[in-house]
Amino acid sequence: MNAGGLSVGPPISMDMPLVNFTQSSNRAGLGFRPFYYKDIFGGKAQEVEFFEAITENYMDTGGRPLYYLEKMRAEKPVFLHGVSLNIGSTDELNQDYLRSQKRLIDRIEPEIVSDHLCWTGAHSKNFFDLYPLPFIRQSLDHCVERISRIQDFLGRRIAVENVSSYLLFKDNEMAEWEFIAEVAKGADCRILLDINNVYVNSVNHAFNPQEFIEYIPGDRVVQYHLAGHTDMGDFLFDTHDHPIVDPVWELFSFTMEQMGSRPTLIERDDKFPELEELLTELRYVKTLILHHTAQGNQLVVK
Amino acid sequence: MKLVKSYASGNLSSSDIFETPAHGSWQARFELYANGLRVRTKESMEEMYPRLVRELSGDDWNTLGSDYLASDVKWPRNLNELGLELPEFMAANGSKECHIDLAKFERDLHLSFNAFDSKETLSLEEFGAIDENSHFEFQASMYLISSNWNLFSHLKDASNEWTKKSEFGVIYRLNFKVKYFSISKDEFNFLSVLKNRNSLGDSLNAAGPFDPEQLSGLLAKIFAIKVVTKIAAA
Ligand SMILES: [Fe+2]
Repeated sequence: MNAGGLSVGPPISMDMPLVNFTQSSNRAGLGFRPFYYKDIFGGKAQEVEFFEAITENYMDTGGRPLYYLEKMRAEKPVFLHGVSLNIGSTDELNQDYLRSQKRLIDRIEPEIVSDHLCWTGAHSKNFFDLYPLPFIRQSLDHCVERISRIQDFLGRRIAVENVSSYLLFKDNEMAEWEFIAEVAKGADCRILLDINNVYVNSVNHAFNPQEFIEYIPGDRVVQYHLAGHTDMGDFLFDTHDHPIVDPVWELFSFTMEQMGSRPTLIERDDKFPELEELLTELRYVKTLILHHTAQGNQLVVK
Repeated sequence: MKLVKSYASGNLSSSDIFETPAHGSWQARFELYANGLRVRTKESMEEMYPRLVRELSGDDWNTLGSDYLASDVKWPRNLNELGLELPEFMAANGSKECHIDLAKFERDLHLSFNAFDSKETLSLEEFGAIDENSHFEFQASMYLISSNWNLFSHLKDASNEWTKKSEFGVIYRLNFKVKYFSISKDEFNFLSVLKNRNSLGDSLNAAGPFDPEQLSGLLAKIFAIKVVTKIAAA
């Protein structure tokens, strides 16, 4: 597929190395949201180096949404980011969902396919939220087994993202970062590291976010997310409707010092500002990435 | 859902499941999850049915929405499609017929917007090659609607009182915009049969006596809105 001059390889398959980014790890991207279609296709988003689309919004849909996604894919790399794969649930894996997801993947040929390490529904109902998992051996094995089956079905590795959470289960046997690292190793999958989510959880559950980052196996991390959140007083709420705050920028720099740069996405899902405001944040992302690259921190494979 | 229900009925305590958070109460944090579900489902339904929301009082809409979500309705993976089964739910639960028709109309607008259309459309010039044995194929985004109420005059001006009156229309999508226009009962019958893969001749017979001028006017309109994708011989 022609990607408008940007270097995009074939879709990553199971037998390729976990991290295979060179200069492409320096890219900065935005979410592909209808609110910005007009600006994007009006030529105002040239400097955005990739777009990430919400998988479910294009899975069973023709019409304008799919038309625009394919139009974008002809110009730039597109990543597919799901919110309903329901990895951690006790429900059976939804075969119908997987078939539909695979059809979209075949059609769009995304560079990265990701979803969240959480549960999003039970008893056949999707609740459209990212609910926390108990960090216990049983749910770890459960996730490993399901991610393996998903990857077998899709014929490619997926990336799982760490989610924001507001509650911890009493039964937890390990820390969140241990759980994520173990799941990724067990399922031989990739990690989408959301740096805002690490920060939000570090405040909500009182831990050191750097400890979290240090523990994550960098050779499995293929993408970063950055976003804003809302301060609720007693805790932080991951709303994706504010600019990125300083502690998250700092943690982003720390992460790159630890494991190098990766394609980095700014997530904005509500209270959409003018595109120019997001582009200003995006330029800052790019500046930080290039700063780290210049220091020789481009890619560290542990 | 079980957790939400046990929480609402007061049968869940923090000591059962959650760590006491570093700051504040676990209940405030749990509310965040419970509220999030309420807010998201409500917003999604209101996006699909804006006219119905305006039509019903706030309380009636809230009751209808929460009863619908508490029913056996299939929860789709795409939040935007949560309300797809609302018209059937309304019909099974004694809603007013005019409101059901309004809901069906709004659902058809949504379905039309997202339909997988063919890239091919036929122009009026190709119309000459057809005869009474010809079969037509239409874009998936084309919907025919009928109501026993004054749906179209109500759509034009919501202050028009609902009255019993048979009305018919076509919903279509052109250049990614969904539009509609009203048609007569004969035109509706003719298009319904034709859309069902029957021949032009059979469709005309089913619609009863059809004024040739009216027919060519209707066909010209149908071609102009680019909903015909294929014409095949029998
Ligand atoms: Fe994220």
